[in-house]
Amino acid sequence: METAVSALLDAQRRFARALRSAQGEPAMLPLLTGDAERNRGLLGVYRGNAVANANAALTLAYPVCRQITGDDYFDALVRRYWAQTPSTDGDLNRYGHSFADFLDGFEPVRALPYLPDVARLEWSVHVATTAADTAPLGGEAFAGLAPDALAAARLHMTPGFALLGSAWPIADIWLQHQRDAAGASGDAFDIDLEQAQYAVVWRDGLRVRVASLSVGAHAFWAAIALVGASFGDAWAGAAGTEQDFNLAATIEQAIACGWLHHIETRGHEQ
Amino acid sequence: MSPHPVSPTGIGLRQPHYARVLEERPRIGFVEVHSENFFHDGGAALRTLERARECYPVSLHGVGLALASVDARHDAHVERLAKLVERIEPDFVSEHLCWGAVDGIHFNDLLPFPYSSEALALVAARVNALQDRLRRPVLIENLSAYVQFRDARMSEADFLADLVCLTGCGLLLDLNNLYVNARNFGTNPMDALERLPMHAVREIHLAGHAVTGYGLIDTHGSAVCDDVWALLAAVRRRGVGAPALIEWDTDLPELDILLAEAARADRIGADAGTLDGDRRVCAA
Repeated sequence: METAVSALLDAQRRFARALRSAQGEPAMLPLLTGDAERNRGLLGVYRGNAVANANAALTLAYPVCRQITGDDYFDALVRRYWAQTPSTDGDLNRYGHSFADFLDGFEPVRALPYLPDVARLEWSVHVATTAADTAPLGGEAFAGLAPDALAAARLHMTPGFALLGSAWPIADIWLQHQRDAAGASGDAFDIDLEQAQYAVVWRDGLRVRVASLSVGAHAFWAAIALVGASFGDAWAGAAGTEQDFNLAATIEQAIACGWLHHIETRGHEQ
Repeated sequence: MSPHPVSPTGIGLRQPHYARVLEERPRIGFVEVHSENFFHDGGAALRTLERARECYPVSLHGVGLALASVDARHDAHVERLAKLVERIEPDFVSEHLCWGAVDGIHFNDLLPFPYSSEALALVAARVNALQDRLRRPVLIENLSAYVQFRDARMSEADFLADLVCLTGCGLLLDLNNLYVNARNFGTNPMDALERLPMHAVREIHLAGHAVTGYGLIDTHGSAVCDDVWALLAAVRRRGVGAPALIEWDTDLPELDILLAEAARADRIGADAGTLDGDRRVCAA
């Protein structure tokens, strides 16, 4: 039994090597019936399917990157990425989370220096698309809180909420591509490509939204969402990064956009 | 032979058709989706499937379990499927007789393997574990394979017949796959039909294929061919009443084309049996 199962494993390993590269074909062909040349072509069909499946997954997750690079260049990037980092999960929708890291290290992409961060933004959008549906917190939740309690409170964000910082205007690039994809014309805005930008991603009902954030607002939400800081500590930190940091406007935006899930006060959650 | 009940045909529900199907609620028996595309915590796709479920029976068709993979890590995938099954309460849960992952790499494809008693023991154990976890029988689909293994000890049909005996699973009989394999390997598709346990067939897949220099390739990208329609008629004449499904994945046409294909499948069912009414549970 043990050796027979090993025979099955051996067949799958040979098949896998032939799928990863045509160089794996010679070890696979003796296992197959029929004409070797034809089988070689058929293994090529399977190999093409594997890359095509990876390509479909990345095209779904990274539509803006695909628009930026053009189809042929994107297809070539996918082949290289798949060769280095194949899928490890039976759910192809999970494939591609490290695409931005791959782009960071891929020399030919240096001509599009913002591409890796656009990819990071797109992966956050991809994740937010399927995040849990929740009812966001309304402004009344703050009404009954004494100043001390608020300062010590911890805010929890809705599923899908994500922050990204970049040396490039990634939120503007992403938003411009949404307008282009929607067929909007005439009102295209100029993007200053030299501008660093913080981006926020969130779920608005079933839609995913992206916007840019000020330095102070980013510092505030990063302290809360990434570090788990208290409201008071986050405020102090944000005020230190941006002289004109407007806390009231920041909270108003969070409530209007539905970023907040619940407030945790000493021993209470509301 | 007295007329036997035949369940009405369903269609594969794909994203470009979501809005029209939910709005117009066409008269179809059920809808089928790929399970993995709904392994989500929330969001628009899952909401659409839940809305479809309010009007139609749903079939969850898996493409990622890769049941015959010797060293695949299945547990997380099975748990995600179990969560979706609990949420959607589908009529059918199905998977393919294939492998797809080895040494930590997943090819996300439906790959053939040599049909041996050892492979049978592995797949039977996996199917039993899956059925235990889901607390329901699953359907296993015959595969379209472009290569055949020298050390296959049995046919796919015999493998599936044994799998049904060992696990009590149902069969998802894909007539296009059966036809593609027969044409590519120079056999008669009726031979495979004779060997498959017709009593275990719970669903039938109908799809189109592409004719290439390497033979027929199962693309799900065209209309069902006449020979496959003839196979459906043959299966119906054998008293199989399980619902058929029109599967179309690439070059997806207008919804009306799928509905016309489904209507044709229904007519073939009605010629051999009694079409078992409209299983749709609410009207538009």
